[in-house]
Amino acid sequence: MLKNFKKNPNNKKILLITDGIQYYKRQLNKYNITNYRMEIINWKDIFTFFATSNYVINDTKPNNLELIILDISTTITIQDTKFNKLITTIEEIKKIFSDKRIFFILSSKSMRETFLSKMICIQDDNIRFKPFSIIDVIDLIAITNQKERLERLQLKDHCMHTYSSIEDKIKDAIKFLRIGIKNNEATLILLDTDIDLSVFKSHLAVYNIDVDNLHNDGLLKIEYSKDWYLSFNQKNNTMNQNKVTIDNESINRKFFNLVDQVTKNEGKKGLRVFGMTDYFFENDLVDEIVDYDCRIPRKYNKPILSICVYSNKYIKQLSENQIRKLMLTHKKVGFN
Amino acid sequence: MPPIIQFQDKSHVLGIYSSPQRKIEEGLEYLRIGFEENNEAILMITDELTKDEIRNEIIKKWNISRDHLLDLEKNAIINIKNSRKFYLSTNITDRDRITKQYSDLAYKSIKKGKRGLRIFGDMKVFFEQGYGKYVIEFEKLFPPLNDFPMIGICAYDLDDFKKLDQESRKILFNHHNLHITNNLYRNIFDDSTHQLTEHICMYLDMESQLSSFLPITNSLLRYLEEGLQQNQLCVYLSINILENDNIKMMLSQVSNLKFQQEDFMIIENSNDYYINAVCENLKRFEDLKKLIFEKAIRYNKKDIRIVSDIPNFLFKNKHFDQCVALEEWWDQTIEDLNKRHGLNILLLCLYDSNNFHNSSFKYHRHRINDNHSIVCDSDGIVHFNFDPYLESRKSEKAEGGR
Repeated sequence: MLKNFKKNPNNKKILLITDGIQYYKRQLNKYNITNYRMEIINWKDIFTFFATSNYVINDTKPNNLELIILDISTTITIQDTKFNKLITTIEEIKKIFSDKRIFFILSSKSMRETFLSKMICIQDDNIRFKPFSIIDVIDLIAITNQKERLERLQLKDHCMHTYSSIEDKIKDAIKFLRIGIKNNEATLILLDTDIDLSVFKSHLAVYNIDVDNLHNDGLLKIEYSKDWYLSFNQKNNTMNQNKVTIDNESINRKFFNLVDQVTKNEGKKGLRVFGMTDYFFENDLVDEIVDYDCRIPRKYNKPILSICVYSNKYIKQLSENQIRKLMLTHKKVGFN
Repeated sequence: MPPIIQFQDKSHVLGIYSSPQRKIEEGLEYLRIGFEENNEAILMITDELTKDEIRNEIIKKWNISRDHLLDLEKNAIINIKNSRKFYLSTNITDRDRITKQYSDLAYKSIKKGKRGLRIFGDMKVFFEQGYGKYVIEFEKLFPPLNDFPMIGICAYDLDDFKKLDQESRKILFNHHNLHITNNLYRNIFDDSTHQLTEHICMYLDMESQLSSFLPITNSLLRYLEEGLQQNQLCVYLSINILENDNIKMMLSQVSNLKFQQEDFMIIENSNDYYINAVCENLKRFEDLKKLIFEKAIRYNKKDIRIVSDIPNFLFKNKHFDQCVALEEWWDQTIEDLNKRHGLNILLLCLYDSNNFHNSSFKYHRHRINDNHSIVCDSDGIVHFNFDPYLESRKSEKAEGGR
């Protein structure tokens, strides 16, 4: 079918740069990928190829190039002098194709660590391992065309994400907020107690996000999870005098009142909630938070989008049954 | 109506039980119905309880006095036998001798004014005595329907039944005209153990089971062949079909079957289905639904069998939400085509069992299982222990839908 691709100039192009042209031709030419054609070139010919095909001149860059795949030789090592040359070449390619997604085929996990730590590749998603197959090509086409993870979430979704670090949580909270601003949706961020509010605000400032302005516009509300979920008496629970339980009904009421407020009074399309849960794990309220979370339906009947934010270290402490319940109660689930 | 009172005359029934206790309880109830309600003589063959223990159970539950029971035993209306002596008295099963015992008791019961003989035969002794393989030969000697006025259950413990290979289990299903599996044993390759409409998840080791010569495993090929033989519309949607020669190869594999070309749809451009599913666009699948529907109506097909591995590749490449969304779409589509158009869809989704080594993959497995009505292995055996909560979840869903 590659023959057919060549007949159709409208087919989108995938550029594969490798030292194993013959191998990939044998592997890939027997497949039929609708609407795509693959061009395979050798690393040593790369700049000649770019020059002859006008790739280096921005205004003549063919717009049907969809993605680039760089196959890194199995024989190359970090200690190898060729490695530095390779990095330079990759940087050149990245400059030329700054608007294209570039994927890497690597031979080992250690090489992946090197590529990520040296920022040769920024996203883990952009790395595939050998043996590289036609399924990988199709998947790369797919992920080039798909929306970013947080962009895919929609109002009414009840979602769950897990994180390995506070930094990753903060990064996603900010991304989540920015999407909300773009969509004219109000965002409620419920922080873990170990995230200082002023530190969080300074993170937002890096992105030129003015908390006070957003708050005045009804686009952002920041609270601590424990303040949102627990009542005064519960917070001051001592010696079991007051049994701490999360009052599901009163919390739901708070959410629904807030969504009504932002949609009916403040003209927003809906409410987005990024709710961190570490506090409950740190204060012996694990069953309570899991129980509360599992009572929420997978789909809200109001314009709310919520992400229940869990830390991986705490997820590992849950029983299989609790994990199963969490998996089934959320419409979308992401493990970071 | 409970299954044990639906039997017709001459039923030869396969029964599978979760525990010896349940086996005996259900066996005695089966015999009670024959004795009290159908005017039948009965024969209990087991080693689980002693004869006296069986007698005590009968006296307690059947409202019979001890003297009356002894009288009934004397007249061969109620017969209690030890399975080891009954089946293996000469260290080898003598089919003629066993058949003669059955027929003697059956004809004797008729002479006594009964309609015939009802038997509950506990097969555990074969496994205990190391004759597990021989039990198949023994069963094969008896046809699904008996020549004389006799009905019976061949009773297997689930643990013993699991020890049999797939071929042996198939023989057992074929040699009995009714099956009581108590939802303990189901096999998707055995039509009598599942519904006409199912959303099946099959876990198989794709690496070892997919040869480089065939774009489909032998068991799946057989599954599709069975559909074609039953005049069903069969649909194959697989990433493996991308390889240019694979469609021809698939067709050549089933070419020895006599089926109409329009009965078998091999869906091309499967990459497009995959790419669109990753991008959360299920329009291609909507088009496929329309295509299948039109074909089913045009060629008057009520039953449709679909095999797809697209969800597996979504899962494998960590597009978990998209995989779940697609499975949910299939679930709704199966229900829609069934309720609105009376079409029965058997959808078999393939998943590589090698996918689940990583913990997050294991977690997402709960979501996959939850979206299927049946979870089975590559032999087609339905495994409830893939997710012990699957059945309760199904009940919750069913109740929620009401």
